Amino acid sequence: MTFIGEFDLVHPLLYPPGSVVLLLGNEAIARGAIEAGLGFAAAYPGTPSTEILESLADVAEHYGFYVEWSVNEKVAFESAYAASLCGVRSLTAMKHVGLNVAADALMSSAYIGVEAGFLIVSAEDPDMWSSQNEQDNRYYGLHAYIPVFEAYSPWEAKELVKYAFNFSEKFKHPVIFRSTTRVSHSSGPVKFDVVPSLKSTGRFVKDPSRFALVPAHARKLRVKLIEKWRSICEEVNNSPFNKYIDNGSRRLIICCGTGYGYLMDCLKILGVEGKVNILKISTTVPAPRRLILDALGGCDVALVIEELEPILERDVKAMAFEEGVECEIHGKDLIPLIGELNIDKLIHGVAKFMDVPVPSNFLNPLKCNIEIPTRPPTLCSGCPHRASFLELKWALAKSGVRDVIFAGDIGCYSLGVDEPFKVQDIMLEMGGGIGSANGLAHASNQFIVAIMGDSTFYHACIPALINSVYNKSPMLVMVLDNRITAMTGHQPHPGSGFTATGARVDEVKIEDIARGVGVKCVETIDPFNVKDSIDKLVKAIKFVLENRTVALVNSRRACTLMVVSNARRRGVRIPRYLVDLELCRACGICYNQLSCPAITPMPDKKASIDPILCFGCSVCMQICPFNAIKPSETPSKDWEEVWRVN
Amino acid sequence: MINEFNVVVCGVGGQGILTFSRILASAAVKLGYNVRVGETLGMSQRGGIVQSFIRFGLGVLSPLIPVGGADVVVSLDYIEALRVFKYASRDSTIIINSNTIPPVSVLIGDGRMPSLSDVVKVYGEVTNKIYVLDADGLAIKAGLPTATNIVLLGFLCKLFQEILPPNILRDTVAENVPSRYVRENILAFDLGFNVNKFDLGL
Repeated sequence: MTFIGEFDLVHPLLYPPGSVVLLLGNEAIARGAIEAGLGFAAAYPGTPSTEILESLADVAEHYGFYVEWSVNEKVAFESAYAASLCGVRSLTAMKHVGLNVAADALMSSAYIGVEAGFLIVSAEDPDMWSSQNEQDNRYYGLHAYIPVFEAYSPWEAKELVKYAFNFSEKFKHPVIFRSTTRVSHSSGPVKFDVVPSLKSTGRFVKDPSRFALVPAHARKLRVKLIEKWRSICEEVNNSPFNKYIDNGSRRLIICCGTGYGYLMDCLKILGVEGKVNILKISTTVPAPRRLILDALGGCDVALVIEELEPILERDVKAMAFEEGVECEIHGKDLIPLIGELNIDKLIHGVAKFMDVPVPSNFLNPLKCNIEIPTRPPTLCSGCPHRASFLELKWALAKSGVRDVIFAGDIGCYSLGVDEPFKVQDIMLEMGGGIGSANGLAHASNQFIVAIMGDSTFYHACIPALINSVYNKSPMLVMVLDNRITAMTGHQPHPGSGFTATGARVDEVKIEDIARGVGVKCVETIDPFNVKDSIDKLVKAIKFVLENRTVALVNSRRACTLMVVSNARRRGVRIPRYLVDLELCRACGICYNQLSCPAITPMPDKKASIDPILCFGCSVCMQICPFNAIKPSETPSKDWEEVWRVN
Repeated sequence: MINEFNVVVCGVGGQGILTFSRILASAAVKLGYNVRVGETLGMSQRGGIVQSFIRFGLGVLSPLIPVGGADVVVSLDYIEALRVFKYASRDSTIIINSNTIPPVSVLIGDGRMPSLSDVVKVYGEVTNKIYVLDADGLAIKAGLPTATNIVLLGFLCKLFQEILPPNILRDTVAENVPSRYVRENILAFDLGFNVNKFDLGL
């Protein structure tokens, strides 16, 4: 075993073949793609998929492949897909709900097929740690006739990604690699293999009968697709990642994806290792029919373990029915359907199936009998969104507008759903705010505000903005432009002015887009300038009320976390703010209405600012009616400079 | 080689829990173990809860520790120790930093703040291997106030030297922190390692 980590600057993906490196599941997926000769990768960030493209971008120059953060998942998919048609091995990665955005292209890609290996990584989020739903994208595989492979660990993920690329190229067909939070965001040791020479450009060979899906072509391709699917169904029986462990039992457990790891732990805890036959499946769609029937054949009773939907279970039951196999098959009657799996949840079903008792610690888990205070996620101290929300609410009040619907969207600003802001009344999906605002504007008599972030604006809001202008939908569109895709950890977008690999490019300005599509009232505010922001917001609100159409306000200030980390790296002093207790009258505006985590009430209700949490945004100072808040030092020129990140 | 060793680390976003996990897991990889780290993050960068599960041993491992399955619970914030109570058993060793970042909910008067002795009492009903130390204070002494995590790692290493050889763990610390802070981090590790029972808050 080679030890790694002697040099703290070496990127984990750059260790030499033979190294055993502790990798995050997403890094393992990236490494697998590199070892498969990846030439092109495109993605849109989204938890838990982000680190795949992020780590590829870090080493793109070293290995010589092309990487981009695309404007959304659909464009990422189409771009990577087209690269494959040029003979370049390519990958696109997205969170599960991102595949909805790319679904139109996904369905067509199965008809056309691919040239070089093409992998779609769908990183899913059972339990919704950071998502609006827990959809199971293996259904997309069934829906589109695209194979879906899934791994149980980082080390298996790397190998399975390589296998998936070869599989894709062999059948000239796309492959979905399904990961989940507990694969993508768990780490484990991964052994590195050789990186082959890669191809980052190829040639597109014209063949409209295959590549241009007019109905006449599509009908023929549909026939071919079904033929191809039959050979894929046969081939998955030969996958080395499907493993049958025959322990000479009359009981069988079939599992896939993360289920395998949890199952092995449960069997160990229950003391029944080696007492049941196990069929571990990595090619869940299509299910390997021959392997399943062979395994079922010698058994009286079987259990299917899979996270979320009973996809494999239904296949296994159908196969048993079709072939007249006399085996009792269990699945979601014993295994939870909702949320992610873990040992605690799985052990009850496995114990019942194995007919052994559940250990007492699982039956009566320890319970803490004192109340634990909650720590809900909040906007960071100094976050420009907090200032924008306050200014928006004050401007609406000043304009005498009371009955307001806030159509929200997905990003850090989703946290505005809670007190004291409550400015996210509806939140559907990425880009959904302005589309629903359009409906609300025509179907209600309330005042409509659509709120979205900058990355979300580029992602899916522009068509809806055009729609609102065209259909004269009275609404205030407020973009919270913090210059970066912040929620997922600061990935650049078309307004940031640099690419995934750090190259400088021209910004695509939100205001230019708005004016270009015909928005007549476009204002830019700096949320850290409270008075001016409120004035401009009042002006925009007035415009909406008088003209019964769209006004757009772009609230532009870089993400504080990004700025503070730049300041620390450059050694720039961050000015802190202090409360003058002589002047403070305990009105509570700063901690109640701004609710910055750095500001807390003292027992006498006067305010106190934590100097460690204060990032010097100055907003509390501007809103204090008694001038009781002052900077500890005059902000330096360097401090002003560090905010102009791009 | 031990069959299985499970460590739960908890605290609040920004306390270096992921670095703690990475160092411990990297050391276990060096020792030839199979390793799995699972993390529960949610939206932690924004003041939320972080829990990390480090498992190493022989054979297949899933990324989460079962209830009652922790050999060690390390809490960088004493309140957060309460949230992972279900992972403890009478065989568990509990290591708690004596400080807390007060939850905003408490500061705005919504909920009562448990005291350190409440936490010790809760765990005391299950195990007698509870260690409370002023890791924040030792980190300041090491010249790096953010090295609370490394102080606690040093103390963990002291208690489990047979499983975690100190020289290997110390080297792994050096390899996994920014090069300009290696000296302070090693000092923090050693201060944690050299804590004696008179320094403990019990």
